[in-house]
Amino acid sequence: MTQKSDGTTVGLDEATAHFVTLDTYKNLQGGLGAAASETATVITFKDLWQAAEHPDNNSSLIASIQADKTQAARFAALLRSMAEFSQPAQAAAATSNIEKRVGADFDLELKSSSRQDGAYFLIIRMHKQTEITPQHLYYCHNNNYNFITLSAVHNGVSQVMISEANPVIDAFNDPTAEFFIK
Amino acid sequence: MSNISYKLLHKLALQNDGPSPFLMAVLTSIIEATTIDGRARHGAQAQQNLITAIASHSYAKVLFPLCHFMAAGAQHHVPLYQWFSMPQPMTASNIAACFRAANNQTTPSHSINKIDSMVISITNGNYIFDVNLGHVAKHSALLDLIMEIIGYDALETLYGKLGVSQSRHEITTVSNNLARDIYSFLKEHLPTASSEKKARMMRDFLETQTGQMTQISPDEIDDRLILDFWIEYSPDPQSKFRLFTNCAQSWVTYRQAIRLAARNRFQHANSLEAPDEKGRAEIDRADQDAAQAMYDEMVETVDSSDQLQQINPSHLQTVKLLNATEFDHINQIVQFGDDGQALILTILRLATFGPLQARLVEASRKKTMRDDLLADLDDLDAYDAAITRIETAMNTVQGLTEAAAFSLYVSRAPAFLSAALSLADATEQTAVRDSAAAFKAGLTKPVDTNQLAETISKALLDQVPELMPALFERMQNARKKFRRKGLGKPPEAEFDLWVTELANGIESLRGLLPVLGRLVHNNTALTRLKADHDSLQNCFCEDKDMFCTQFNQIYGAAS
Repeated sequence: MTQKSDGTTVGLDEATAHFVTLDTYKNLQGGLGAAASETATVITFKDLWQAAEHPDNNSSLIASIQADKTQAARFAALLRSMAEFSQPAQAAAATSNIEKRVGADFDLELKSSSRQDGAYFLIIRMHKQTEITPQHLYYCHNNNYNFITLSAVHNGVSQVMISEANPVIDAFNDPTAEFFIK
Repeated sequence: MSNISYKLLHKLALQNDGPSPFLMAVLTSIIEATTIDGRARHGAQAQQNLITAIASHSYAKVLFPLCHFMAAGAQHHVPLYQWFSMPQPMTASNIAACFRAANNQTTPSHSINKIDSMVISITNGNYIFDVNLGHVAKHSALLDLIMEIIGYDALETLYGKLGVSQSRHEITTVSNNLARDIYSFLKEHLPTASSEKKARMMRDFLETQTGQMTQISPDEIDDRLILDFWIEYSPDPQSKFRLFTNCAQSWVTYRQAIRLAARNRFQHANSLEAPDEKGRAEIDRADQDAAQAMYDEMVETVDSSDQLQQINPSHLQTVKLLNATEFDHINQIVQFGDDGQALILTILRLATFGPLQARLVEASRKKTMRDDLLADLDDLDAYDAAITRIETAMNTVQGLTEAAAFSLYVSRAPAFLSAALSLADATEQTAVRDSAAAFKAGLTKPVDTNQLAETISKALLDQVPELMPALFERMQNARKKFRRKGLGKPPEAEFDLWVTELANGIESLRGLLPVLGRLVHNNTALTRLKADHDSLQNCFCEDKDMFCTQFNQIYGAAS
């Protein structure tokens, strides 16, 4: 019942090895066709990039990243890599309240409002010129990543008003916290 | 046989220990990745190469040049993330532009001899190497997979090492480590034990059948061998060949594997670590040969399946071309590709007994086995009917193509013209081109290109009955025959989507025609079967007895 083909002849073992490859190939192709609805949800580099580039719009994604130790480590590396300026962990402070965090790229200073209304001002003094406009101050505290949107930078200084409940205050006071500006 | 459960059959066939959901999700995200403006991040070849490299475990030889690319990137101080967040697709020219931009901004730590559109030459002490950006672009999707497997943190560390590498040995070490990491990942997420077990069974059976011969040709895998194999292995509950459909498709794959092995390009002898451009070009060529061999072999089947997916009735919104039953039936046929010509009896067996087996499996699971499950087999002309269904499927595809084209014509959509040209005969095509050329020649003043195209389209649409009379008549007849959703009046809402779905639908339907055409027309095996009606009936009766006995053995007395 068969038609004659081109007379191709190969070793049995060789053909069998190629069968495994082709069968695997078909499994992959078939899986891709069904992938849209049936595959797992994963965090990819693209997600990390989105979270780093547009943190304001990706708070739930950032939470998902932080919930996964592996992804959190990848995200940290990406943030460090993308950061225009970085301030690594500080040497342990003598007191629990740090007034100023000094770094090679920028200093951070925390001042309470003169109105005594519970507000604080976080002052960021950048030491270097940059061609890009810094958008966010990221910080990693207790393995959690968070960010603050920066105000306009004048003469290398940006000042952001925050409430006393803002977690950046705890991060500021923790010498092990890391800060990045991008 | 009207309520054929092809979907169930397909689902059952997929029950296998294939790629993990995680791997599939990662691959899907890579292949569907787009740039900011919505273009595909990776070219079709890069996507194809990724699947090929994984399936054949041939990534090691690709990693070596990719590591040289990363070394060059790191030495140019291009941040690692930049390669994975490029606003443009990963083409050779866009990658070269990145290098040029980096070159203008910083002083690379190593000497760069040149950056042209395709090749970067780097001198690093005594080690001189070239990076073929065309090669990198063709494997850009693999680069993304490395990122997902290794992670940004670990890959950045390796990138840093490559940036300060002083010798070929250091780059080779990174390349080897990456290969090990990918291998380890795929071992977990792409188990091939099932395929290997199947392969061993098939090999052993072939060896027995061919009298311990060590050579094999596709011809030796025929309808008889497939049936005998199924009879032997289907009673084993652990066998992956319990379903006749799995068995048939595996042997189709084996036939393809023989032809692929015959080309012997996966084992092409090359100096894969040759560092110079000549060597790189050789790697590139060998790699593309391997991918091309795989691609050529698979392209007809995969393309036909892909084409079919484009017109999946559950995906289309404004039109309905094939119905679900037609879709499932054609899907089963195109899986055979051109091997279907030689395995026509297997196709008839599959079309006749496959759906029945699916129902037996379903009944067996639900413990609802009934005596009337085999009632469909009372018709002695079952194989004739199966042949008729195949021919009908072919005619349906042809007719729907023309009916869809007529709908575009009625709506006066410019998309009709390109569709019509692909359906018209050579004389009609020439008439259309001559008419367009005459129109252009008659212009007395310069006209905007877009406006000209629009004007010519309108003029040609007015002349369709005269320019393409045969096609016009076929389209009209098809329109009367196929009255389906979206093939009537153009919709008022979603007109653009309707035109797009129709135009793409025509292209997809046309893509199915070659495989179906070769199966139905000029197929001597099919002609022979059709010519001897009594013999076909006898064949069915023998098969019926055999399949019923086998089903009884597998599923119990009720069958």
